[in-house]
Parts: sequence; structure tokens; C-alpha cells
Amino acid sequence: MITALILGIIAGIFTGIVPGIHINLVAGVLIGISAWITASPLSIGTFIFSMGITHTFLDSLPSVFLGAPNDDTVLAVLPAHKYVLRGRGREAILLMTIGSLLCLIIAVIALPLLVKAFPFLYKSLSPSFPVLIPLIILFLIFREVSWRRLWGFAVFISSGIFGLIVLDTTINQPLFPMLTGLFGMSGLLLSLKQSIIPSQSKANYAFIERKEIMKAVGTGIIGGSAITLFPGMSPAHAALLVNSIAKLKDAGYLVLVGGINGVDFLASLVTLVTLSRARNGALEALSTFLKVNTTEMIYFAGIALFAGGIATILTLIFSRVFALMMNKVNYFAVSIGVISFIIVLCAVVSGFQGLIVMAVGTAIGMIAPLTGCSRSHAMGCLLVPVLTYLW
Amino acid sequence: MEEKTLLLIAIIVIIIGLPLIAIGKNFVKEDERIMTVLEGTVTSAYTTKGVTIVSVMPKKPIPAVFFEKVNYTKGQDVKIEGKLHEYKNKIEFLGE
Repeated sequence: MITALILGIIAGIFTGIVPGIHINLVAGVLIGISAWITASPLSIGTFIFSMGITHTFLDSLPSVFLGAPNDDTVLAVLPAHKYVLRGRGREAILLMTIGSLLCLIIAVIALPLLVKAFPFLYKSLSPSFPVLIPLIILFLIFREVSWRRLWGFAVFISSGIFGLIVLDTTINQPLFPMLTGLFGMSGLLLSLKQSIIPSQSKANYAFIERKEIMKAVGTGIIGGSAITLFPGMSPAHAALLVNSIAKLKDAGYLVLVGGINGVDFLASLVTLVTLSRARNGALEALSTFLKVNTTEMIYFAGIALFAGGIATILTLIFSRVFALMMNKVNYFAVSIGVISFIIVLCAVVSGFQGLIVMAVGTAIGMIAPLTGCSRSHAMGCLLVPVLTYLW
Repeated sequence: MEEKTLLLIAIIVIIIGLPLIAIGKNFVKEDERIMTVLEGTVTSAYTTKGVTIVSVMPKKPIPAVFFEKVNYTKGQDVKIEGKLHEYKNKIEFLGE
């Protein structure tokens, strides 16, 4: 079991640091080879859960330094990029890690409350999802300024149609090329324009007021937990919604994004246990190996704390390495290397059809950053299929 | 916030997490493995909306195991509630 915990953390480092690799991909592979796995169900569950927790901490690194986010960290890219351009990329990582760790601790403490509240909240809210979710989408589009609303709407609709088509195909791991194209590859291609990155400092201090941290963590825990009740909605939506009320500054916003990301995986386990709904591929895989009940949450709370603590230390260490690399390595060459790696991986995992999906996703994913509207509208790729199901 | 403050919190969290794992392990029911291997002949298969449904006739009868005395006889048609389980690399059905 300890071996599974350590292997899970190592896998989480890999999925977190390498752009384009998501825990869902590793979980999918696990299911594929499950017939040959001799480990106990508990060990497999431990592996998947510790990998997921570690991943949520380390995935801030490629988002901030390479501009290659996934669907969870996409909203951190813009404010984090400002930090990178000022040579303070490591400070952005520190802020996101503060949010992730503090929110994870509070989520563990609040677990009994979440277990009690989720069934009641879901029962009360779910009948209104077919109306509530479109209202949230409209709110997010209309909070854009002037003509960006139109672009936001265009991104949402085009990614929605794209999602409907992709999810109706027989492509292996369809989410991988779709989400990598929409969020990762589009960001990487645009970052190629940024040929000169200023020298990155190894700052060991994050400039943020204590009051701002408390505000970001408080809203992060509420937003990160609540969003898991809504089908198809991502941490990126939670960050946008919560910040519409909290009005955080850039530093606070990074704490919020890190925090929501940190809470999301643990809160998703609560939805799996209490509502029998797996919000992501990793927890879907976990549920095929191990039946998790409320009494087993104590074990997973311990895993969350242990893996979260280790992941914090690892993120701080790796952020130094990334900052050093940015100073010494040619940024353009690194980006080209990462892009090539993702293309090869996509071809291996999803084949030629997957490459076409990724190319289309990349094109749609570039609309938002080029027009200045929020990239979160591209989550229409999951929301539209969910809405067609709800309606 | 200083990096060393964050490191200190992380170390405390690791220290608290370890005993929680040890305590929590006592509450985990390990025998509920759902993933297993089904070997047999495909009698029908079709794909719809990305979901493939395959009907499989097992090559060998699947044993149903009850940890209590039950009155079933050979040739009797039965409907048994329970869970699929793997024992010594073979599927068996645990009746409840």
C-alpha cells in the first residue's frame, strides 16, 4: 500500500509536469491492463487517488512556465503569464500552491459536512440543472466586455458542436485529443510568439496580504466544492463565478485557482461516494476497482493530506528547476519539443482521427486568446453534450 | 507568505496524514473487487453512441457461492442476487 502511494505520487509528478498528459489517460491505461494487475483493489485505489491529488498541485508548473494549461488551470494562464513576463513566475507557482494546500486542508476538515450536505444539495438543485446551467453559461458570456460577448458565444457554440461530434465517435480516449487541442496545444502554439522570456527569479516569498489569502481560500473552498455538484462544469467555471463576487486581485486570483483545483478532486470523491457520480476518468477508474463508502473516506482523507503535503514540497522544488530552466534553455525550442511530444502521444493514444480532433480543437481553442474572451467558454465541448442529455 | 511557512504547513500535513491513513485502513473493505475477467463466446454485439454492448455466454458455468445453507437443486431455474467476485483467477458469483 505504501508502494502504491509512492508510485501514485510519482505518476502524479509525471502527469502534472508533462503538458498534455492527464490523470484520466493513466487511469484509462490502468483499466485497459486491469486483467493483468495483481495488486489489491485498495492499492490500485490508493495509486489513483494519490496520483490525482499530486497532479492537482504540479499541473500549475506547465501552465505558468510553458503556457500549456489543462481544462482545470486554464484561467490561471493570463495572470500567471503577467508574473512570468515580470520574471516572477515562481511567485505565481507559490501563490497557486498556497491556495491548493490550504483549501485541501480545509476540505479534509469539512469532509463530514460535505458528506452530509452533498446528497441534500444535489437533490434540491438537480431538478433545476436544465435551467440553472444555461443561466450560468449566459452569465459567464455576458460578463465579457462588449464584442467579446459575441466571441465568447461563438467559442461556446463551436466547441459545443465539436464536443457533440467527438463524443459520438469511436476514437480511443476522445477527451485526450479534444481537451489537449482546446486548451493545451492552442496555448503552446500562441506561446511560440513569445520568443523572449525575462530571467526568472528564485523568489521564496509571495507578495499577498493575509486578508486576500483568507478571502481567496474561503471562496475557493465553497466554489471548488459546489461546482462538483454541477454536471459538466469545471474548476475554471467555479473560478470565474466566484471571482465575479470576490473581485480578487491577480495574486488572490492565483490562490483561488490553485485552491479550487486542490478541492475539486477531493470533493469529486465525495460526489462519487454520496451520489455515485464519477466526475472524472480517474475516479471512474477508481470506482471500477474499489467500492468507496463513507467510512473509507477517513483513509482517503489521510492519503489526500499525505500526498498534498509531499506534492507541495515537490512543487516548490520543481518550480526552482523550471525557473532555472527558463533562464538557461531556449523557450522556443522547449515549446517545439513539447508540441512534438504531444502530437506523437496523440497519434499513439487516439490514432489519426485523434490528430484531426486535436487540430480542430486547437483551432477553436485559439479563438478565445486571440479575441480576448475567456478560454473557459471552450468548456462548451462538455457542457453542450451534458445539456443535450439533461434536456 | 514565505516559502518556509508553506513548507512547514506541508510537513505538518504529512505528519497528520500518516496516522489518518493507518486508522482509515481499518475501515476499508478490501474484498469488494469489481474488476475481473469474463471468458466466453460472444452471442451478440452492437455499438451505439460510443457504447459497445456485448452479450457473452460463459464457456464454463459460473459458480454461485453462498456462505449459508440454501436449498437449490440441479435443473432448477433461479434468480440470485449478489456480486461478481474473483477467486483464484476465476469468476464466481457471491450470493447474498
